[in-house]
Amino acid sequence: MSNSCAFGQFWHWTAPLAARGGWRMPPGSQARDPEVTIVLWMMRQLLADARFYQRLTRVENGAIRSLARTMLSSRGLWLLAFHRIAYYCARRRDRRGALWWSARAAKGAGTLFSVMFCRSAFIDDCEISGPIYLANRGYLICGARSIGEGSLIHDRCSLGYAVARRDEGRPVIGRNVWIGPNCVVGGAVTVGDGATLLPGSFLTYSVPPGAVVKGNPASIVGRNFDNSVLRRSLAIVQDVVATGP
Amino acid sequence: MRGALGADIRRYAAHDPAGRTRRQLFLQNYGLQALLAYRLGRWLLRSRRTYRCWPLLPGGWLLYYLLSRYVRLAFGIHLELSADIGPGLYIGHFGGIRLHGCRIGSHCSLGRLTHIGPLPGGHGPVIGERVWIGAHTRIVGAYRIGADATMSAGAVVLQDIPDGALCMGNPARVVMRTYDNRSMLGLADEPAEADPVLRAQ
Repeated sequence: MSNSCAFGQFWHWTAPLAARGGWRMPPGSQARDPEVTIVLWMMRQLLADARFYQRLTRVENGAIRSLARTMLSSRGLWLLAFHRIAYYCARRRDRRGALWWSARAAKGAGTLFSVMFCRSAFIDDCEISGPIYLANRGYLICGARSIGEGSLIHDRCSLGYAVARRDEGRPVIGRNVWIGPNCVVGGAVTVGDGATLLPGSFLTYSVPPGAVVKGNPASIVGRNFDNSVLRRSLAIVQDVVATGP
Repeated sequence: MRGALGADIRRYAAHDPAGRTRRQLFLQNYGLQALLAYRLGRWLLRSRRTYRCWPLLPGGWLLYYLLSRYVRLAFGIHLELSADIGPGLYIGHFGGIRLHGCRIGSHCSLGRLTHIGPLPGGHGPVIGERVWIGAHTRIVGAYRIGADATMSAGAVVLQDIPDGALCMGNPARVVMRTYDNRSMLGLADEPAEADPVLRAQ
């Protein structure tokens, strides 16, 4: 599935509804009802997320797990699915139809579910434009304003956490960002596209695209780094975890 | 127990923007549920010495076991009974919190993924009053942390921290000697005459 069905583009059509004074069909859509369109886009988005997970969680000989098995075994994918529903609830408070109330009920159950089983919590109105990876190991708290597509966020991360002051701003995570385990991003920070946060880094300032960040407190140790190798699969972190730091 | 738990509830009510009632807070807030289990366990430990409380102990320990298992399994908040926690603890988020064999003063705040405890075979840390402890903080070993100190997120404490200091980094260094953390703790309206550092400012 291409990235043309990214959720962010979908919200560009739906969010300024009140400003335009009515619902307008997305171009090329066959659906009659806007709520049917929303359900269709949501399912396509979840399918794209599952495909993304499927590519990432290759087993060692390069074989790909089946889509159903990926969906059932990825707790981060459950978290992402519940977050999409919660995001819909947060952004569409102006139109409370049957779909909104059923989504609200699913969100209430999903918050508790993701706390207990995914060990993670997400702020409701964090905009995720496209498929991203959230760690299956959990212990992730995300209060970011937006996360770009193709980003990888590993376990034990705190995004948008007050580092030493209260009520700090919310970070903006760019596209194709690799955030290692045990990272903290605090304050109103912009993490540029394709940046790499090495494990255990505590970032409190904005970093340019392609930067490599390391350490506590964080320092930029590299620039214009291409992290596509890191983002190709999860094997690199699994090796580190298996062999110890 | 009632006094300590009452102080906990007051901390949570002060941090709660929605203004919920006590019952709603207990039903909806996992940090408060964890503290309820912990305070119940400490009360049961103390009431072993009182003959009149003995009929309550079996049912009490069963209730403590169920509550603490629920909190530990569901939310990962491990407040063990070997920790001595003063009244008015506030736990901001769930997940990966482990407190054992330490002494924590009153009106502290605790972030997530914190580990406070002794080294194997050693003594645990002693933490003063009104200390703000950020996420990912690790205080392992017999260190003293003064009152009104602030542990920034991700601080790995390997030395004693003086009163009112702000420390951050790995290993933790004292960045500021006098740092006002009362607004972070939600205690801004309470008088600070007990503390000479804050009174001097």
